Amino acid sequence: MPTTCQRCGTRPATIHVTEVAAAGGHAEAHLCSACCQSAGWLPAVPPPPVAELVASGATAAEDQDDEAGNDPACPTCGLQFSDYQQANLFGCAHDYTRFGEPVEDLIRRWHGAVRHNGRRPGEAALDEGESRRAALQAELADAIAGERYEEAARLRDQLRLLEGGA
Amino acid sequence: MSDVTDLAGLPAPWLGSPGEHGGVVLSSRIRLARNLEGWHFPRKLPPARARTLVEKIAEAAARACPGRLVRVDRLEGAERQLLVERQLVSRELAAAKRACGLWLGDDQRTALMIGEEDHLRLQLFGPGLHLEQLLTDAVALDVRLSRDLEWAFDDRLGYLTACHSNVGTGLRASVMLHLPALAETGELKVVLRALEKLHLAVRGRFGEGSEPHGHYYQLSNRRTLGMDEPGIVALVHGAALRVVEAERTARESMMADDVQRNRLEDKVWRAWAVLTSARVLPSEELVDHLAWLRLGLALGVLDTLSHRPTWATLDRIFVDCQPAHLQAVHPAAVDSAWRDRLRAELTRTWLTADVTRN
Repeated sequence: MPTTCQRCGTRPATIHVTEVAAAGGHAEAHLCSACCQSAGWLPAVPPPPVAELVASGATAAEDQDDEAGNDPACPTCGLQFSDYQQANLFGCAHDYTRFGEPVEDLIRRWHGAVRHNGRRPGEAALDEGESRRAALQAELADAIAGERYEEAARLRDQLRLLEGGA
Repeated sequence: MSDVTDLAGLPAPWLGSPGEHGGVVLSSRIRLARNLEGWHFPRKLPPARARTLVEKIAEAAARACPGRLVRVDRLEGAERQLLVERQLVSRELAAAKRACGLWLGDDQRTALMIGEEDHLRLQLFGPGLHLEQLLTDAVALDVRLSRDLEWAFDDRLGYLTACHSNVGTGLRASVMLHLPALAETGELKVVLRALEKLHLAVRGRFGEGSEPHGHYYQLSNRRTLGMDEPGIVALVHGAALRVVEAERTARESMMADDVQRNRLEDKVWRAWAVLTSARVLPSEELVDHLAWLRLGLALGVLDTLSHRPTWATLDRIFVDCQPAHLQAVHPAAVDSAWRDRLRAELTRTWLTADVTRN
């Protein structure tokens, strides 16, 4: 179950809605109370009991706490993991390694990945080839979504050419 | 006059109606989140350190991007609100009590938020759907800034940010869309579900938790880690095109159906009647009616007017009739009742001026 609101992406998801369609089937939504009330797209429901709000990340952190005997704090900034769970804000860059697996788990669940594939400090600015690649990728996605497969094949060839020549 | 009230009355550089895609796309924004290596994140910075942070980043910004520093924490409430209304700063930065700032580029399309959730939120705006160009420009500015500033970076996780939802590239690519037909036909829910599957977020005009008054929505990526920057931009760009297509289809289907067209035209003409006649006009009511005028203009509903309003006039009303903008130009407009009357008067005047001029 997501621990962060699917709509605002930052506040904890405290409301879990299951919409049952008349024709059968159902859809789930995990939201914070502010988004649930302000959206108008989804029905407002009262928050569930606190016991239902405990997510797997919190459980893992509590296990770690038990081993440490209390809520662990970062020796660099003093932030406790429970504080991060409340505010969704770290105190310093060391917290990523200090809190270990629960943070890794949060990242994996949020991003579906734990490895950076983007730019690195010291790299030169984007060149025209990279911008062109982004534009081609966008056009390709659009062509596929629109089921224009001949156009998609042509765009894919162009992308391969560009990436091969890069 | 303070150093931000002069912004009121200037056109918003991110707004360029009708823009491309039939007025559905209003603007694009690229944001990169960065933090200094070896520094606590803003929420844990002692006050003196927070002040030093603002100065340090402003010094680097002065070398990388001609502009000026606005100390947001020293502004009055209405001045902070003015920056929010122009979408130069987030509501979180405007509400911050610690030392924080905005580096406003002379080009009026570069806005560096200093000391918000992260040390730096580098933002570039532009009208229409031009995320790739904005990304190229944002990365070039990041490269220039990093000559003076060392960013917190991890080989595996990328750029380290205060919230795990921004780690990696720190990139948020956003497109502001006007989706009245999708909202009106009820198809917006279907579109939102499809976007959610692509890990894209749709929020109100002022970001998370804001109301989608007038059916203005921000579409942006949720994930910042795993894909590279051009890939993220391509994802958002492609999704924006699909949403534009869905909105245009919804508009066409509304216009092709007698009952729906009649209903739409009624809303447009009611909006016209209210905006050219009202004596008291609350902000939210204006935004809602103005949105119908935009749609009416895009679909030619207003063509039967012998002198229809221009896009530039609608943009001007949209920006300049916001509460803090009114207060900046008319300092007496301190209470909302006064502003509601002033808003009604200015809207009538500007719409009528179009009629006279044309």
